[in-house]
Amino acid sequence: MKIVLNSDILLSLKFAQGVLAEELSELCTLCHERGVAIVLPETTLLEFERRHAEFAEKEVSNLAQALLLLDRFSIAHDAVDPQDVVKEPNLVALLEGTGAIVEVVSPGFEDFREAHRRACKHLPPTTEKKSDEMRDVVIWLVALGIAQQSKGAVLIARDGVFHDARVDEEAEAVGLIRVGAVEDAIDRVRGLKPAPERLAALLVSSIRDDVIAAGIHVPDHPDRYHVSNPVFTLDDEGLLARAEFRLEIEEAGVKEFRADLIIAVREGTIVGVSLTEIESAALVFPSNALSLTTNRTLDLEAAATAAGLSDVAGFGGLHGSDH
Amino acid sequence: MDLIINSHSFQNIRIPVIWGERAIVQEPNTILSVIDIGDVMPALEILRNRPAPGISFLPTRSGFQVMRSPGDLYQFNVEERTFSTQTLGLADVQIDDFYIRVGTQVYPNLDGFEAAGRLQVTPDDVKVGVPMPFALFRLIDGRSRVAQK
Repeated sequence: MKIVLNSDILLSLKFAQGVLAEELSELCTLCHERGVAIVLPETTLLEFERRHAEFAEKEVSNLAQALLLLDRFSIAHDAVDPQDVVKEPNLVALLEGTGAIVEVVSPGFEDFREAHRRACKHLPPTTEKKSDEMRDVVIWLVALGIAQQSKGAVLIARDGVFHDARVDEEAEAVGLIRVGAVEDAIDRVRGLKPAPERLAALLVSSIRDDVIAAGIHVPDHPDRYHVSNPVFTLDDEGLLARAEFRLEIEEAGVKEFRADLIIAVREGTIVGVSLTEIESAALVFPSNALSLTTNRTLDLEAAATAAGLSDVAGFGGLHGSDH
Repeated sequence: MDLIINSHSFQNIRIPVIWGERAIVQEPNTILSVIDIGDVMPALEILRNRPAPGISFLPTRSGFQVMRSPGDLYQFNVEERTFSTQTLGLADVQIDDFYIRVGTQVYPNLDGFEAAGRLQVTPDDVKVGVPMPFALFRLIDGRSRVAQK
């Protein structure tokens, strides 16, 4: 597997300071550990260089103006040549600095021909609205080629054209997975479910005994059941108040139980669980709904750590508030 | 300028960007909040870099996604101070101490230039120097409004 980067995930202003965004750095380090190569289509690299050259020019101008202002008020400063201070970031060097293997792949003649054909005929992933469709198609074709050669690849791109349903089949045929964020790629490389689903599964573990007491068999390990569509809500104090998700339990490949869960939390204690839309192979529930009262202390910090979310401000705040 | 919403008080704020129907509120030290001004009643969605009380969200490694049934509205990367969306049709916005990045374009983010420089990001374009939306004007604390004159 290889990781292919589109230029729209390389726009961070941090590059101008000569550093990688934290999550990109984490991805590169992980790729280094797992022997996964990072691929930069040459189109991505050229776009990156153009944008950052423009930005560097702006920084040089701003710095020159700042120096003039200091001079105007006779404020002493070292002799500074803005051109020497402001450096354009070297993307390949920054990525390689993490230890990751970086490959810059140029499009071939056939890629250009195919991109030309698709752009002229408005074939996916082009759209009638966008003006930079040729660049998008070239990156798309390079990503398809990489996936085919490498028995699968992950393309990280925010732009909706790469997630267009009309190119699903083409992507699946060569094992090209498309994600919209670097952190999704991190989970893919780690082979993990998305972090919120892992967190919801840990919440189910906390109330497992109560759910079993209600007659529902819940396997002892979160990997043996499936949670989806999780959503969380905080209370006025910034503490977790509610978690909603769908729970599915399979046994020997057969869906045994399915329900929508709402877990109510008050000041760090799970106080209630509501199950609706219950579908069960073995049990009958009146109105397909069930409510449980519980009193389970929730160690959110441990759960967040287990789900890989401990350092995230948006979630780290769930176990304490500084509002 | 001070602002009050849902009993939360914000002092010395700036509103450098109107992102679609959302006002990005910047406090000193670039602490960010977001107010949805698309409805009759403005609603706080992000409160000082965290999901506001009662707002549905999904935690992520780098921040969280603000959710509205049946899907996600936008993602906030706390570390990068970046707002991005795949559903609202808006370019992503990054708020830096000195700059505001909208998609591939970079604008200054400086005190004293606020009135001339507030950005409005729509699915079609970026406008510079837009006035304060009326929905927000109602939230401005009267005392700071007087002080501004």
